[in-house]
Amino acid sequence: MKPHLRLAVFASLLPLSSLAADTPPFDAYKALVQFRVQNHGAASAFDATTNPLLSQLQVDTASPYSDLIDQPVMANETWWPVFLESVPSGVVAPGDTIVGMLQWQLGLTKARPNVDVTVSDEDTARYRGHEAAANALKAEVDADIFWKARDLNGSHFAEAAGEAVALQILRDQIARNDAEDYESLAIKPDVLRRYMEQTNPERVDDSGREYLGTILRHAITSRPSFEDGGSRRGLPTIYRVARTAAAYADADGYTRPGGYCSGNQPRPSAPDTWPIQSGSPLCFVAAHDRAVTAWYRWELRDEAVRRPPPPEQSGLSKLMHWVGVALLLIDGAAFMETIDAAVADDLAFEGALSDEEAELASRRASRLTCGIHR
Amino acid sequence: MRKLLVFVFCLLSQAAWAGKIELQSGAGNIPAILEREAQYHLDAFLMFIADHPDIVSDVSYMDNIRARAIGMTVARFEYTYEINGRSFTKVYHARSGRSVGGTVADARYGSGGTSDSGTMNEDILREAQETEYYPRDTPFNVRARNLTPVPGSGIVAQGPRSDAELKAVRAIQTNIEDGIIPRGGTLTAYVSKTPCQSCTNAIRNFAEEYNVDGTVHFMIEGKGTVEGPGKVKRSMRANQTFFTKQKDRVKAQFRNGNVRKPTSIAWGEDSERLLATQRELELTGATSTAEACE
Repeated sequence: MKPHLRLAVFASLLPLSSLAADTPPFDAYKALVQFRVQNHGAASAFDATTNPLLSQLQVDTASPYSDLIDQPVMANETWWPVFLESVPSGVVAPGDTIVGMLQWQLGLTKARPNVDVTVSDEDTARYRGHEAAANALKAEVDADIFWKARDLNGSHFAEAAGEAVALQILRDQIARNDAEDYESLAIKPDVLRRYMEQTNPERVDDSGREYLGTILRHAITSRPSFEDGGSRRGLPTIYRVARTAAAYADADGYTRPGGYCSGNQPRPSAPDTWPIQSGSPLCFVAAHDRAVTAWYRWELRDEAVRRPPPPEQSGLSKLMHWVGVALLLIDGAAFMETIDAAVADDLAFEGALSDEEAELASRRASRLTCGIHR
Repeated sequence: MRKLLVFVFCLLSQAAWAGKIELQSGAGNIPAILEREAQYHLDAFLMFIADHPDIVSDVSYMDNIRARAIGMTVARFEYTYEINGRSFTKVYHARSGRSVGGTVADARYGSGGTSDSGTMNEDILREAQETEYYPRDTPFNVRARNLTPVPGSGIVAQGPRSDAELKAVRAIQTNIEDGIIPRGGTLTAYVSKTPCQSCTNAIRNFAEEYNVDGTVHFMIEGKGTVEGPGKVKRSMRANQTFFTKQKDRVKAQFRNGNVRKPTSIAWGEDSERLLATQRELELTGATSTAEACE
């Protein structure tokens, strides 16, 4: 195929939103860790564990609907202004703060329409609901992918969400890399094209699903760069998947109008225990990403174990069965340590950290993920 | 490191004349694909040592096994050919090193090198017999193991070699010679490290002998502090990601005194095993991995 024709074909795989100017997000947590390593040493930089950090950033760490703390204790430390000065100018969007970026990238924020996520009337129409649109937009999943994955997975929202995010990652990879590099990056536009053209769930090819599962699992267990399909705002992949599943649940509707929300707030009867003890839906737009992810894990188990797809559609379950254990690894208890290990790996590659120092973070994460590391 | 880089640059600049198969640095989704490949081979070692409690309880021995498992090269060679206008792809799954048993025997004496635990030919035979550690071969997915060179072929290596790339190329060659697949196909291959000179020659000769087009994509070892083109750095980053995750997996799965035998799976069919793991977690009632550790 001639180069210009090939480009035209690839461009047809991209919605206008994906063709808009995209820029990599500023990684606030990595910058903080790097600053702490340089100024306080690796041992100190990696001594934070999940709960103490969360209690600095959330008002009530025991609530799935916790509000955020604007001025955490660490912002009163003598090193904080020095850290802020080290942040490159222009990386913090107007109206945002470094603390806000940290909270977003660590999965502590909500998806309230027009508070956390801008939702237009067109978005509401595209995603068939105000709340569904807010969750899906936060997940950065385009509407055509969102509905195609839903159509090809029936009522299995958890599976559909995984496929939708994998497809979006692939679409973003196509948009953010030169077509001539696709082969050396193992980017397969055909997989996206075939999936988007498919109308029969039983005809989605296994090799395509296997490929999407491979991409998704890797994205969940690592920190994909922007060009490798990472989030525009640095939201970890697992939270994107969970938010997409929440969007499906919201779009599907509830027996009670408004479901578990009253406006942007949870109804008094909405589940509010933490850690989440059942698969009951939350008021998703008012819940933080970590809480939505905890719900999502319940939903995934339910689909995989209690409501497996019929044998003739066994291909449907492959993707998420394979990704399932990776999801279990990214659990609430160890999430900070897991992120630290990935950040340390990045810094070691860039020469900002010795291999021994990176090993420190890796050992700490390994202790918490123990023998289930698949 | 400097030597490696010089070799890589030479390799890339030689691509134009390297027969019809090009060698290119790769990144992007390649670590994701090879991560999955690596698990098949790690499982093979786990199956072997899980039956040997004496090995599992020997800390020093396990250290050496871990080092070899982390350091192995992993390769996935996809050979696409046409029959009556219809396209088929056969996948060859390969890793570097001797047979599972041979590698474990070597590890008794250190983290590198080989022991006197058998000649090359004996190890080839041993590896051929190690079917129970791997998924069963299917018409389109096979384990690529060490094979003796085809007489008269240019696909040779200097000295006794057990490189992943060489194993894969020889497996395809043998399939072609046996009439199982036709010559003249297309190769898309992914390799976790830079191919050595010997493998590069073997790949080039294979392309010429069997009229095969294609590309071998490999990830380059190195740190981001090394000067080089963006693509080379990106490939190095991909290699580091793969290597770090491989290290983490090996440490988690090859634990002193505690090695769990993996469930048998088929190529490309991890789902059953992972579902079993998931069910296991369900049964234990663990709500977090940290809890499951206790």
